[in-house]
Formats: sequence, C-alpha cells, structure tokens
Amino acid sequence: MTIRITDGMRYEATIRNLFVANTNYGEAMTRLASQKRINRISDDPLGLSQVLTLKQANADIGLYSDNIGQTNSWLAETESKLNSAMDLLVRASELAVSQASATANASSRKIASREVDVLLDGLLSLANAKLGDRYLFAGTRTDTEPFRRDYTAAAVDGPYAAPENTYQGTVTKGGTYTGTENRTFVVKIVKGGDEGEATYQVSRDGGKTWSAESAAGDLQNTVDLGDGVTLDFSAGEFGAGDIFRIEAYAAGYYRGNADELRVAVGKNASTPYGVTGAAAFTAQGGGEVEVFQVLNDLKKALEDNDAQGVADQIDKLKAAQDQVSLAVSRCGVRANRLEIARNNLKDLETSLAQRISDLEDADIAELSVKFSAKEAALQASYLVATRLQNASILNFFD
Amino acid sequence: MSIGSILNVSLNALSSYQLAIDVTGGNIANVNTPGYTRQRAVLTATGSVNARSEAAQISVKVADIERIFDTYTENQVAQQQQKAGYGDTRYSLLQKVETVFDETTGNKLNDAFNRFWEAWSDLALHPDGKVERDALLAAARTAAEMFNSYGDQIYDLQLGIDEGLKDSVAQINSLTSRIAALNKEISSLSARGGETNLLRDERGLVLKDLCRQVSCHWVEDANGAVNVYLPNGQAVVEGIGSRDLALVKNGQTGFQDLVLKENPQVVLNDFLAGGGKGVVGAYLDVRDGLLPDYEDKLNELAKTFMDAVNDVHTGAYDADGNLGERFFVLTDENSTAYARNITVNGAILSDPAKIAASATTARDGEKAAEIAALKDRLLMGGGSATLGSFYASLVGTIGRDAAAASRDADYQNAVLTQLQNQRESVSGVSLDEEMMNLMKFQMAYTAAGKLCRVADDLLETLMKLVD
Repeated sequence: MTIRITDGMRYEATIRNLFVANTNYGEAMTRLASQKRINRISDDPLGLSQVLTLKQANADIGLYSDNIGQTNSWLAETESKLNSAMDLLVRASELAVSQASATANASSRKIASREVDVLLDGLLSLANAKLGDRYLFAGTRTDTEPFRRDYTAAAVDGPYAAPENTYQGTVTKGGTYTGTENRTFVVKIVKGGDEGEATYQVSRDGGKTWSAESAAGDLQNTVDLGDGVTLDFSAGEFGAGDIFRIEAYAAGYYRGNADELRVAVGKNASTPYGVTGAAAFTAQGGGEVEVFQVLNDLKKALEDNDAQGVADQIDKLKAAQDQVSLAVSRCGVRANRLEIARNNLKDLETSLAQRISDLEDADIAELSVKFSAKEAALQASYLVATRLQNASILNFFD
Repeated sequence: MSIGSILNVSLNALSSYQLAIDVTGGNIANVNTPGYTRQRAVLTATGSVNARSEAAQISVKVADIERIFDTYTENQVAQQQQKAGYGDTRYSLLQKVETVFDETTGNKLNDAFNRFWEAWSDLALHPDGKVERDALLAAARTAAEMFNSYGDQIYDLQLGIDEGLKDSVAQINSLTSRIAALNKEISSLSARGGETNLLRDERGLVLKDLCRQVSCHWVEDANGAVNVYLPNGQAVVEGIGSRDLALVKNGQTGFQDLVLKENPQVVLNDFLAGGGKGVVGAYLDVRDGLLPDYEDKLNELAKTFMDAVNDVHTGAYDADGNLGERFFVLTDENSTAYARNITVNGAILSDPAKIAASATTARDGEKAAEIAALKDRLLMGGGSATLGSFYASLVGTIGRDAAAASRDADYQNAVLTQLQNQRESVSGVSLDEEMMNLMKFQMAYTAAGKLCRVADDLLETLMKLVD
C-alpha cells in the first residue's frame, strides 16, 4: 500500500529529525566537555547512588587517615619525651649506684643531689610537655598540667558549678579524699525543684556512668560522693541538668587521670593513642612506681648523706626504668597499629577512587568516536533539510 | 437534444471545474495550516441518455465538497494528546526536581554530610580546639541550610505548579467556551444545510488543545455539537453552553484545589490526577504525589539526623562542663517540615564553647567521636540504612523517576507523531497531488471552453445554412 506523503509530514519529520540529531549532538558535547558519564542524576540513577555511597566511604577514609596522621605526631612526640625521660632515669640510676658505694662521701653526694635536682626539673618538664596546647601525659584532662614536683597530700578541688546551672545557692565540700587514683565526681540534678523536691545522681567517673537516682529531699542532707568526699547544698531552686563537678586528687604528684585518649581508625574501631602520665610515671594507672617519689627520695637521701637510703632507691629506679620503657614500647605498638590501619586505608582509597572513576567518568576514546558519529548525523540532517525543496513537482514546471 | 444543451453542458463543466480549481486553490493556500483538513470537489455526472429518442443530456456538477478525514484517527490523536501533555509536563517538572538534587557535581547534601562528620571527628581529637569548633559550626550550618534549601525548593516547585494550574484553568475555560461557541455555529449552520467543514476543522483543533490540558472525553450529538465530559462524568461543554473550572485554596495543604466554578464544594483533583492524562493531571500527580513523597523522605532524613545528633549531644558535656543543649533545633517547633526548619541551635552558634564533645567533664572528645560515628549507624529505614545510604537511595529514586518520565514522554510523543502522521496522511495537503489536480482541472476547463467554441461553430454553421 502506498501512503500519501503530504508536505506537512515531510517538513515535520525533517524538523523532528533535526531536533533529535541536535539533542544527541548536544548530549555528546556535554559529556565530552565535562568528561563525565553522569551529568544529570537521571543519566544513571543507580550508578549515581553507588557513586554517592562510594564518596561517603571515600570521605570516611579521608577522615580516618586524617585521624591517624594527627595521632601519629602525638605518638611520636610522646615516644620522644618518654625516651628522654628514660635517659634521665638511667643517669639517676648511675648516680644512685655510684653514690651508694663506700667510695662516695658527703660532698660527692651533695654534688650528686644537685644533679638529681636538675634531673627532677628535667623530668618534670618532660612529663608536663605539651603538643600544641594539650598536655601529652594528662590522660583525657589535656587542659590540666599533670605533674607536680613535690608530694601533695590528697586534695579535693571544687565544687565547680556549671555556668548554665539554675541553682544559685552555695555548695560546700567536706571530708578528705581517701581514694588511690584521681577522680572526677559529678553530681547531676535529675528532677528540678527546691531542695525538698529535687533529686540527683552521682557519677564517680567524670559523668559517664551514674548511680541510682536519689529520693526527693535527699539534697537537704549531706550528699556522700564516696571515698570520703561529701557535699552540702544550701537551700535553693535546682534545675534539671544542673551539674556540679568535684576534682579529687589522690596523694602524690599526678593531677591528670587514667583515661586514655582514643581515636577512630575505622568503622566501629577506635584505638587508644598516647600514654597516660598515670601509666608512665605513677603507681595509679597499672604502674608500680611513683617516679617522682623515687627521685625525691634519692635526692633527700643524697642530701642527708644516707648511703642506705641511696642504695634503697637503686631497685626502685630500675623498676621506674622498666615502667617508662614499657610505656615506650606501648607507644611503638600503638604507632604500629595505626600504621597498619593507615596502609589498609590507602589500599582501599586507591580501589575506591578507581571504582568512582569507572562509574562517573566518561571513556574519552569511546566518547570521541560517538561524538563524531553524532556530528555526522547532524550534518546529514542538515543536508536532508536543504534538499527538501527539491522534492516537489513544482521544480519541474517551467 | 440541441446545440443549446451543448452550451449548457459546457457551462456546467466550466463552472464545476472552476469550483474544483477553487477548492484545490483552498487546499494549496492551507498547506501549512494546522488542523486543516483537505477538501475535495466531488464531481458527479448528471442527466440521462435516451437512445431511443436520440436524446442525451449528460453533464457534470459538483455534488459536494467533501472533507477528507478519518474520525477514528482524529479521536486517537486527541486522546494521545492527553497522554503526551501529561508526559511532557511531568518530565519537565521532574527535570526541575532533578536539578534540586543534582549530586553529579558534588557540593550538595552528600558533601555537607561528609564535612559534618569530619568536623566532629576533628573535634574528637581536639576537644578544646577553637578552630575545630568554628569549623564544626560552619559544617553544621551548611548541612542544615542544605536541608532547608532542598525543602524550600520542593515547596517552591509546588507553588510553581499552582501557578501553572492557574494558567491551565484559564486556558481550559477559554477552550471550552470556544468549543461551545463553535457548537452553536455548527448546529445552526447544519440545521440550515450549510457547509460546516472549516468550523469542524477549527473545533477539532480546539478539542486537541483541550485534550492536551486536561483528561476528558466527548460525544457528538445529532445536531453536530460535541459534549465534553471530565472523567467523573461532569460535563464542561454541553451543547452550546460551557462550564468554567476554578481554583480554590485548600486550607489544609495550602495548595489550590480544582473545582467547578458553579459548584466549588466538589473537589475534582482526584478525578483528574492518576490517569496519566493532561497537563493538569501531571501537575496534580507531581504536586500531590511525587513531591510530597520526596519531601516525606527528606523530612524523615532530617528528623533522624537531628534526633540522633541531639540525642548524643544532650548527653555530653560542653567546654564549660555544662550538659549539652540540643544541637539542632527547628525554627518552627510545631512544624513537621523538618527539612525546611532544621537549624543549628542559636545559643550554640553564638557560643561555640557550648558544643558538647565529651563524655566526661574532662575534655575527652568521646561524644564527638560518637556523633562522628553516627554516619555508620543504621538509623534509617527501620535499621537497614545509614543516613548517607538512605540519601543516596533517595537521589537514586528521583533520578529513576526522572529517567522514567523522560522515557514515557518520548514514548507518548512518538505515538502521537505516529498518529499525527496517520491523520496527516489522510487529511493533510500534498502539493504534488494538488498540482496534479490543478493540471487535471485546468485541462478539463480548457476542454470545456473548447466545447463551447465547438457549439458556437456548430451554431454558426447552422446559421449559414439559413442565409
């Protein structure tokens, strides 16, 4: 059957073909210019979803690598300080050994005592070293100078009321801290109201875990925080969420805490970095030796010309060296772990970048060929359009 | 049989062919007129031959000027206009949505999320850091503003559709009243036996325009008038009268409802949406179906994000040892449009020390790390997706919808083209054909003139006999 082809059909079809050829040409040109396969989300919705998820994973890797990079310098600094401390302790050992012998005398011990004094200064500055504005050996209390040179009796600082508290009355601390490690007590008001209505909870670990809620009215009595520390609240209006903080320090030289700093190095994987001063220099965090005590004792024995006292410190100094050396090796182990994690991330990063590129980027060679084809098609359409008027009987009338 | 009758035949032929040439001329003149249906002079032989009486009187006349068209195809084109109008409009709307969520170049919500988590992670390592706190606030604001902008742009699209509906309704009203007016002319003209071809052409064109706008069907009555009905059976054109559509604001949604002007109580939205027909159908489908769907998902994402961060933040301690406040709040606390309303708590913005990063009153940064780890928690979709993967799948859904709309628009337009070609093939003007006809009729006209001359010669011969 012959179809009637009208002039309208011919022109319409030509115009439509021109549009199609132009659209295809434009798309190919956009792809070639952006060098991307996906220029609108409808170009490949599934691919784009994948790209987004991969980019999230990529950002995660960047984040973890960044974390590791930053903690690396912290670990390196910690390790170098600990090594220096080690050198100081070795020197102290040498002094102790030489001054404990019978050949030493009062004046040599006096001289040695001055050297130990210098060593103590050195150790103090090492133990109180900072990276940026954070103390390396203060546990998580990185804003507190962690060590004191002299023995300090157990103390309770505070109470500190949080600035946003509703409660405006006075809080009085009482009792003596009997604990063996530094501790932050926190009292949190659970239900607001006056002292007869309000209830509270007590935390012994800085606010992470909480005791059972008190009964209403308990605030009228002395609040027992444990380990001998008590608080008394004057009458007043309490607000829910009011926070009172009490820093309790065990007797000794340390002011930081035994909590380790942690860093995320992967999904649900965090690792401690750095070493607490408690572990390296005190008997609080798993160690056995109060390093500052030992040096102070040595200095005193030397000043007093007490040969036996000096000899007593030799073993303790050995133990102190072991303790610091353990801390150094712990740094090494942690640095190692971070290094392994970093290498894994790097491998992953490369393969992710590859996959993102596969999904997102255009194959330039293939695209160039396609572009040429579309260009040819467009030119052909133009040619057809110009020939259109030839195909009419009118051209054959004279 | 007489010479006079030859002259008579010649006259008939001359006037018939002149009319045929006129009709051909009309076709040629309208070769580019949209909706024009080609016409043809129907020539019929007249007279009788009576061999016994040796009388023959055969002549020609134009019995009719025929409009060459195929009702079935005409109707199909009109029907397909409804689907093409729907497909085109839906695609152009989804293209706009697609631009809102254009993640192909980055710097959208996906990046904002990534930067937000990174900022918390940095803060976890430097809980005292002023710089880290400021950077976190900047990242948090970007994320909140990205949500706001997505929510606002979806809302703006809905408002834009309302504007489009106003235009459509105005157009529909003018088209229905035009159809009613044409109905009147056609029925009165055909009652008087007049020629209605051109009026019908015009009405067909108007009907197609109407079909593009709105889902409808129509029936032609005995007088030649068409009655047009909406899908619920409501007549918008009945004989020579038409009923206007109107828009009233829906108090609940805040958007415009489509009603009949004379009966504003009955909302027509549901009848016009869902059938995949007409510009209005696409407007309603996208405004009340797709966009709220995207918006719900976006709100779900914003709410979960906000609640999860706030949950950790209010259990953490800020730089001064206070318990954290809510990190994100809503500008309108009663609103459920979380995406449009989410914002960083002003108290925290003005005092970065209020960012709560630590699990204890010491600055351990543990809670900041916990917030950074929210990115890996399966918080969405009943514990099946992270915030990030939920968002990625939302973008994927929008992309798929847009791709499907594009394919549908292409398909519907291809079908329309096909049908239009069929219609064109039957009713369109072919210049080649008209030229041939012109030659044919011209030749016949010349021949008829010759016939006249011959009759004249015959008469002269006869007269000479008398001399």
